[in-house]
Amino acid sequence: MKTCVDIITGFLNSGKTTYINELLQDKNLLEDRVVVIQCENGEIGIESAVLKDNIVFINTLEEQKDLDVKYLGDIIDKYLPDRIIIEYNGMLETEKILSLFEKRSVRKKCFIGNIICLVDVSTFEVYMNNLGNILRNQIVLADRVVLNKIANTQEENFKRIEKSIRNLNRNAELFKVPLYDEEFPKKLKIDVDTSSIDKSKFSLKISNIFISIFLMFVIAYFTFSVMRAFKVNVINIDFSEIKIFNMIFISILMQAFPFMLVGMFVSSIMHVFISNETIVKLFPKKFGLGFLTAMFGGLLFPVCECAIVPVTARLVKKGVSLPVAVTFMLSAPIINPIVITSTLYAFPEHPEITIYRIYFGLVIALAVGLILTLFPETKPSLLDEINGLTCDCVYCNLEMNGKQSIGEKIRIMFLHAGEEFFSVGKYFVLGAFLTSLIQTIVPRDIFSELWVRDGLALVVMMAIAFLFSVCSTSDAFIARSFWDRVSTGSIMGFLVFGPMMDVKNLFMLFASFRKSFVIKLVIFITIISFVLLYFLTFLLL
Amino acid sequence: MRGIKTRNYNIDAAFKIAMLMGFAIFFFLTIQSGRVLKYVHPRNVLFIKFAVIAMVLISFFLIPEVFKPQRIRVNSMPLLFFVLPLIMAFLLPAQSFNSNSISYGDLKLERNSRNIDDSEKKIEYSNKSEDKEDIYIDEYSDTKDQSIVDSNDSEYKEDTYVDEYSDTENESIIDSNEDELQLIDGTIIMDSDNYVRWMQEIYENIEKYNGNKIQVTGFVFKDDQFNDNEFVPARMMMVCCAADVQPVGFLCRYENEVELETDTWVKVHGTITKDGFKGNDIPIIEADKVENTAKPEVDYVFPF
Repeated sequence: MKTCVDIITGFLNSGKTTYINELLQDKNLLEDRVVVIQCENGEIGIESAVLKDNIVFINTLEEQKDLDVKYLGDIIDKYLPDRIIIEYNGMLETEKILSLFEKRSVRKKCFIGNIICLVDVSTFEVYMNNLGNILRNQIVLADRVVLNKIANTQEENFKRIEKSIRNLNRNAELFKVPLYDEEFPKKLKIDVDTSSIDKSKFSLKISNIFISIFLMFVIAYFTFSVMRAFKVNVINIDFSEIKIFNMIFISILMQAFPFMLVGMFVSSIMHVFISNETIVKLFPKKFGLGFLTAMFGGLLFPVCECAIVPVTARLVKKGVSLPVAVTFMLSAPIINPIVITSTLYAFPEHPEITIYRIYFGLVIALAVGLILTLFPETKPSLLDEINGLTCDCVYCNLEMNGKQSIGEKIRIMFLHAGEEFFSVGKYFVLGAFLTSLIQTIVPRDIFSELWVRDGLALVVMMAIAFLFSVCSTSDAFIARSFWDRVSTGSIMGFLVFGPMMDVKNLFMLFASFRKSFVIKLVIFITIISFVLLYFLTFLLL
Repeated sequence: MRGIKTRNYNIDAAFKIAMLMGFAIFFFLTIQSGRVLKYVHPRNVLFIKFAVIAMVLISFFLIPEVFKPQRIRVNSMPLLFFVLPLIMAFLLPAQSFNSNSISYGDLKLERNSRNIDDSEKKIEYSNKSEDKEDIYIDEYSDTKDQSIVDSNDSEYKEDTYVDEYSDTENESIIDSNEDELQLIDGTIIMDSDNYVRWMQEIYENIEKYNGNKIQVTGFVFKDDQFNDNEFVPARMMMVCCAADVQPVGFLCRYENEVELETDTWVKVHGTITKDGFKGNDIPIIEADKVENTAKPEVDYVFPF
């Protein structure tokens, strides 16, 4: 049987040893042979009361050895433990120990059980500011986060900390412990057994409701297919509608996927090969020039709106003025060369659509930027820690530390592109699905009546753009399918407003900026877009 | 015995590889079999080839990840979004649209709704090639869309704009193709390759081709607003992808029209005449002979 290895991370004084002491007293462990490996010397030792025959205690510092493949292998061979608990040094990268488990020889003997991160709430913010990277990694990697010493922390403060931890790691279990050191709470049930069983159960969250609808559709669809295969005509359902839906759906995906992939590769290359510092240097501090750079910066910095929010947050943090950064955030997804190309491809016989898109995009971006200058933010716009900056992507988050060879960078580049493809692609598939559905089942007459009036059509298109959250590199193809039904002005609403503001951008904004600022920004963007599009459309088209 | 945790194998990565390879294989197969043209315009094929290569490469780099412990627990559920299109892509056959499918919510006729009533204005403002693309379908839908006057207005303005921006480009495309539009024994023979170009050409120069012999292949398309002896030997035109196919064709008068079944493929031999249809002068084919014919290999026609 393979050995189960639990890893306890956390800074000095966060209560790791206390936690292990408690863990060792758990009934489920009484029968097991346990090896505890400590990688640092804390104030508290392993309680002697706990030390029983079947528990071996090793301190790497005392033995003056590094925890490496051979060392770990030797320990397992020597003691044949059922379980190893590693108390890891808080100052070392958690990454390092995890890479141990990628080695074949280690994997043959043991597997990772739980990774538990202990966080001392009272010092959380200090550590976040000074050792943010290490702490962030600890939290991101954890299966279980134990918030320690919360008794001395104010309610409001604590809520914020909890939120920033949730932002980093949505799936981990969170435990709260009032004051760990003085009195270990019995409330905290360290259920060793269940914790080591895979927790891949379906948890019922609101976000999963959508998935269940999706599953229902899949099941219904399969039933249809089976019925069709057996030529059961009990219910007289016309399958041609499904076929049409299928054709439209697949064709939208087929033509947009390549563009999405191009976008992803470009952004990954930039992400991996160009440092943020270099990019920040490019923004001049001078005001007018700053706006100009912000408006056209997207040409040289081709990210779609799916990646722009973290970049913007970083720009603000590095000292780029807020209006300039916002202008950049709004214009970059539209002036992006890939977006321009895909728009040209989607409207091959109407190149003016592309020109309007760029024109409106730049005007609105500048207008929002100028308004922000006129009504400057009094409070800081960013949240204390920029949690949103950690990329969703598993690979770059963990592997971007330190220098890598070109080969390694290329590997990460591909992995990052793949990761982005899936994280962004799901919004796109959803968008394409809904559009195809609308195209197939909603009769045109309804639309022609609803969308007769330009103003209303514009609102509808803007709402669709907001809800669909289609990536700007491919939304032109979706807009294309509305082409027949609404005026050019309303198409502009979709093409211009969509990249600037949509559901998934909104969530990302909330992750990095203060709530009141985000709400203000959304209102500004929406009103300015509507007014400008409405009137400019009349003037121009 | 405690089960080996999923953490030790990156199931998420394995799932992703399956998805990527699924799409790559599907794209590859459709290109291989030529079915790709039922989904998208030929110009997209090159991009799709790129996508296939990109997906294979990403999967290639993902393979080692499967055998590494998964570091961050991620929710793999969103990947389900990709399963549905894959299932649909593989299970449902690629299908061409016919008039039958159009009848669902009048799927593809709307294009015309944006340019009715503008023919005169268009002619007045410009005789350039671009707007012709829209006019030739006017015949179908005049009556239906009288209500959409508002949007027409903007559309027509837009059309004049189109000219400014794209004339040169479009003209050059048409110029380069001009030599292919040749009469054979004084007869216009429209096939899949020159279908759209001929339509543009004839709509543009009705006078020039008035009385000319013509041969058209298309499927029989009938509509309520047509007279008893009228039908259209139509082709489906794809501008970008299957989401925007629409029927195009000349209105055709044929005395035995009743005998023609909707959606059957026919070859029409006839003469082009300029005639009024719902108040507009458009080219109409007076058919001498209509014969059944085989469905062409690629049943869509592509402009540009």
